[in-house]
Amino acid sequence: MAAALDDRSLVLAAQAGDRDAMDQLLRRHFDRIHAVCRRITGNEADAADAAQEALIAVVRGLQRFDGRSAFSTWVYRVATNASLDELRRRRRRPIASVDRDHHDPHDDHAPRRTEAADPAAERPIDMVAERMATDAALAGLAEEFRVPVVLRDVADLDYAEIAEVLGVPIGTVKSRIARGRGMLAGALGRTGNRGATPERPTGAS
Amino acid sequence: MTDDLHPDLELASRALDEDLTEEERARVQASAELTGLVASLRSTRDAVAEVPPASAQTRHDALAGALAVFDDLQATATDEAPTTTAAHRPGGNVVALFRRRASWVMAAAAAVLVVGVVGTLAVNSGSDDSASISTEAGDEIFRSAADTAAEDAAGATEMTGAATQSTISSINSPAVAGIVVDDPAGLLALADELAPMAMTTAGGADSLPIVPDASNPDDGAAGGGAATVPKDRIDCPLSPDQVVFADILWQETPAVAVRSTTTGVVQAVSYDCIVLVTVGP
Repeated sequence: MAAALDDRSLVLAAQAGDRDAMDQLLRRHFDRIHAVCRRITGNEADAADAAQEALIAVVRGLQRFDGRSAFSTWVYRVATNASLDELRRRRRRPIASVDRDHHDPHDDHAPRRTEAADPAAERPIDMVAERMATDAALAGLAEEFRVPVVLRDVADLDYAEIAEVLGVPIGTVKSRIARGRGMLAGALGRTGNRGATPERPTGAS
Repeated sequence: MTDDLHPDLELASRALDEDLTEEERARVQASAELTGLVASLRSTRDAVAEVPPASAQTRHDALAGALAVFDDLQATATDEAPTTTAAHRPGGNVVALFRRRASWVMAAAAAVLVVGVVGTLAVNSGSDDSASISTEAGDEIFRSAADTAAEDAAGATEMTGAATQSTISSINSPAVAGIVVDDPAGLLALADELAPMAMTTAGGADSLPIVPDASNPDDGAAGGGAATVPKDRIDCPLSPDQVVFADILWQETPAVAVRSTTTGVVQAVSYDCIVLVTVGP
């Protein structure tokens, strides 16, 4: 199987039973699938589960994929649904104690949330703090805003594709992305609110 | 949280996504406030897009799990290859099923008609002699019906005099299905037509192979080598010399017609293993 085949060709081959084509498709999209799952679920463990579920759902559903939309659009829709399912499962089970409210990413003495399975845990401390702040900000965002922001800024889908994934009008997508970004900017101490004064001014501001 | 959002937030957000008209773009570029807002959103976007990568183990596990599912699906598809192949032809599977059913219905109807004709002739002749009820015309019609049904019964086992043991395929693919038979002469005539074996009638009625009572699981096992017809149709152990040659309706009771290749004795056996009738040659 040639490495340069586009998604459509790989999909057709995989639908015909070509294992290499299926493998190539999954490998090609795994990183972004995982990223979408990571950003929607907010932690590595749930992201890993959601990504696994998403890949399996892609394999199981491949025969029904008719190619009317881009394969990537379909895949990220599957990943989004898998992530939301994982979040619903998470809500039904007890959460290990992580006190986000008392964590100040700018305070090196503050308690830190660690995830042993996360390879990024060994990154420099400021990067970890940035990531944790982003996680916290995303976690504080309602799903209706978080999901379109993730699909735009992580999956790199355009407005029309996001509208297709979410089943809402494009105008709604634009509005939700803008509001989501604005709320995130405010939560991260960046501007985005009218006349907002960042609660935690960054060095750059 | 959302009430404080900047009134031009959507404009700035669309600017970030390069989704502006020329007029909007000029407006954003002319405003330091809007330019700053776009910059803050860009910074936020970059933070969101900076996602920690999955560990090698997570990646490996996910891919391996999905490919295992793919392999399972392929294995299942391979097991169902004939159906799958037919299904891939537009309408192919439907047509094939329809044709098969239609053939069976036609074959059964023809067989019923033939048996009726044969039965009528037998009654008119007033004789139980099977030879006397097989008229030339009747034979021709009967063979035609039987041949048609036999062609429809894919893989039907040929019933020859050399058959020494009943086979599953003989009942799974009977030469003629659901033939209405109401009298012993008709059953014998049917046997002579569908199972015309060059058998040796070494024994008489006294040596008839008995189809055991199915309620006794040990019954028939002592026969050694007794054949058992599939459970989805009938689960009656038969003697090695018995062959099932047709599905019949014996006086409105669904049954199979069985013939001993040794004695030539013919029996109608219900699906619950009751011998409905025994006819000597």
